[in-house]
Amino acid sequence: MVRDPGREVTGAADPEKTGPTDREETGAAGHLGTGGPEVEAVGRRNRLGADGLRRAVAWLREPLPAPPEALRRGPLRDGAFPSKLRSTRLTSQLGVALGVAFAICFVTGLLSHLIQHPPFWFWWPARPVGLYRFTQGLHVATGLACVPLLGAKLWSVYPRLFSWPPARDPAAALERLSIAALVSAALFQLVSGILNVARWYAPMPFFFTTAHYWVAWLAIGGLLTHVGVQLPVIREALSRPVEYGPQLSRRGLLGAVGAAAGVITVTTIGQTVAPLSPVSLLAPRRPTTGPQHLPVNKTALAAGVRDSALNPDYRLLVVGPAGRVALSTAALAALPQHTVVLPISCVEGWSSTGTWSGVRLRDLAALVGADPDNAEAEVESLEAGGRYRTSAVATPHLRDPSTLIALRLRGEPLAIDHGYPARLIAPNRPGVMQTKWVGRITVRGKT
Amino acid sequence: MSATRPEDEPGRSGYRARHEMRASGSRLRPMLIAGGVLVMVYALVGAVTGGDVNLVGVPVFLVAVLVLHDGVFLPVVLGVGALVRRFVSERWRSAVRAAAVVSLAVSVVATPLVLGFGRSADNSSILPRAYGWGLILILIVIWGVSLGIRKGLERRRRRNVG
Repeated sequence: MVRDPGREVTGAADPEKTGPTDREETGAAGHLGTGGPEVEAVGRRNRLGADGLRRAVAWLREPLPAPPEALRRGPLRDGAFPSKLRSTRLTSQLGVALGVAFAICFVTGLLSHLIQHPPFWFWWPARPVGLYRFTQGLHVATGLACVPLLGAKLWSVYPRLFSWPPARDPAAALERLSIAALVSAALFQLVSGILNVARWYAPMPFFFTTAHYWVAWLAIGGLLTHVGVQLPVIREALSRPVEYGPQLSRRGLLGAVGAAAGVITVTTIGQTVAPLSPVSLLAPRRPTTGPQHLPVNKTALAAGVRDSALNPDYRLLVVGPAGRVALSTAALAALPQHTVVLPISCVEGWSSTGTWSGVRLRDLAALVGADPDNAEAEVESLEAGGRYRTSAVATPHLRDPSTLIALRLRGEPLAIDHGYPARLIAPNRPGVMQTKWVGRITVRGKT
Repeated sequence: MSATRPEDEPGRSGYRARHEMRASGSRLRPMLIAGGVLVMVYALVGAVTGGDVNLVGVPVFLVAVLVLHDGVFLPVVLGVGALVRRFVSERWRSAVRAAAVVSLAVSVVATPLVLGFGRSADNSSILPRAYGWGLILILIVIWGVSLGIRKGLERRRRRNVG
């Protein structure tokens, strides 16, 4: 309840506007009768609400009966965890690092989601061309670096799982439940993310992308609640002077955790930072491995487009406000050709730069009577189905001169697995939106 | 580092800053807690109404990772830690522990790659490396560096004493 002691309550002539005040809430004001029936009703309702709230809080603080001592065995015993390395300070420091890392993952992941499923208020620029490459590379690298951080954090609080009694009051029980949700969601995000970059889907009984997205909200909500609950403990632990001892100290352990994060980063980041590729022995991709020195996510075989893509009767259908044109590969090659250097940036965190040649999408839009500076397009693949069969090209990308319907890569005709006969390549976009084997483009003018 | 708490010296600027922080914290806490609960509710509502989330598979996996981590993985890690305490001399214990922590974290990331179930017959650009050998090499470097640092520290200490 917002307190507003400076408010004038004598203006009771307009009871609706005055509303419930602090004094009415506590029932101490003697003026209630003058305000007419409305004010009285509001005051009563408010008192009831406040009483209900107070009762609920009191119930949450009601001690729960202690469980029988006989159950206190194994890890529930006093002193079951002998390591002297655990401390609130260690937990707090790991927690701060983990909080920052989760925030980075959440923001970059949400961004990637918004780019792929833009709500009406969202707008994503075509420049800088490598921005998405950076944010998504950061997303995956940060997630992988979280592995030692989360591991050490959970180790440091493991004894609390067996604290005795399990919950003193309902409030503590609720808090433990929210901790379980947070830990579960955090583990879910890391494990599913690792499985996804390794493309091992069998252990996951769900579709990765949407599950990873919604559990991220669960994790970040749990994290906010957790920080709120623990704030005094964290502040106390981090502002207290450090006691030094002769242990593999807290600093030693933090150093080991940091080293682990560093080793993981160096041995995987080469999938997007090409110069580090030689030392990235654990990178799921090598930026130069694949047909025409570029990795492939979905092959023509997997997409089921081999026959239709290689069919000599192939035509690219472009539909716009002024009509439609059907372009053969020869007709496409006869249009003005442009060459751009643009990355393919996969949601899985790898990226690789290619030299693409083809027709500007804005030229094709103009061909069918749309204003290329003020239009959007839907690009459809020859695939019969699948989540990524089509992609939307918003105005900033359609307008951009480096957005191509590419026919060639590194001077050669596109490999079939890179989208022969024609694919979309646009700056600053996830790879799944760089539609391959393009069969139809629908251009709509914006009003 | 001084042994006194900064709070004992009210003249320092840190004192006031920390108290101001506490005052704002009294409002920050309920906001964080309520905000977090709202976000969690949003997650549940979104997952249920979104229509694209497997409402059996996701909860099963959520529970499975929690149970496997707290009930299997961590107890095994603690067991190994106890073995280190029991069998490794105090001289080497810190170095062994540090190397074990790094090795464990790297192995968690590497395991799905080493197993290689994600490979596909028609796409050689997926998992193109020999991850098993890569992991072995990385582990050798981790243990070499960790034990090497321990030896180096010892030598320096001996020189300083002598």
